[in-house]
Amino acid sequence: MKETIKSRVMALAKKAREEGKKQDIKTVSSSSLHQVIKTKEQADRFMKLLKEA
Amino acid sequence: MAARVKIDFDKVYDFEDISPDLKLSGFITRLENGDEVPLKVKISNNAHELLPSVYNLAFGPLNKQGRIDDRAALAHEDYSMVFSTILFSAFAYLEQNKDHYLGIDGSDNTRAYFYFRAMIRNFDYLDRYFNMYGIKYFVRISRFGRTQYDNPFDFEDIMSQPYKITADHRISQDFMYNYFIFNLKDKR
Repeated sequence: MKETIKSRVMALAKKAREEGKKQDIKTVSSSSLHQVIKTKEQADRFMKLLKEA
Repeated sequence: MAARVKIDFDKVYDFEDISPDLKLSGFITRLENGDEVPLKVKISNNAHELLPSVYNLAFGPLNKQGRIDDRAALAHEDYSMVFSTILFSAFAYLEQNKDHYLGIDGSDNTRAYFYFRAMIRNFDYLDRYFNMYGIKYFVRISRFGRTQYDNPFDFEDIMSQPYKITADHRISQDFMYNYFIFNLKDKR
């Protein structure tokens, strides 16, 4: 990773720690994955496939 | 929506605000008409209850109810900078949470196809930072019922199949992925 990008990521993380404020903002839509995966079997199968992909 | 987006983490908007856990960030985009609109980038507070490392990513302006409207259509002056900023925010989160995955829907087929094209056009750049996957949902077809009116589709039995996105990936807009997931390339 370029050093400038790495340093900017670290700067953003530092800003978040020092100045960040917790806010609770919701979204209009929810994710389709949340609606489709409903059982542990489906979840386990999905994660296995994701790691093998 | 703009056809060509060039992702560059060196060209991003300044973050006006950021939460301590990096899950919520905000920046101001300039529109083609000169208006400035605050945009929020939100990573879901909780992972999927059955997928503890998978979080949803959403972005957009706030609506009148104070919710992120991820269906809003804005004519940005610089789409490249907008999407570079959104992805940089996501990247910063993943750098602090290296085992997590972030997912995004695309509120309609056109938008999902736009995201896919942006990934392919910027593949060499994005591939340095992320593994990217397209997800398809498949529904089980049960044995045909006793009458022609029986619905054979079992919508309780859906398989989610991930496909790793590569530089030469091709998929038609009509059969676009249902969901996209990405995680960090380098977890060291």
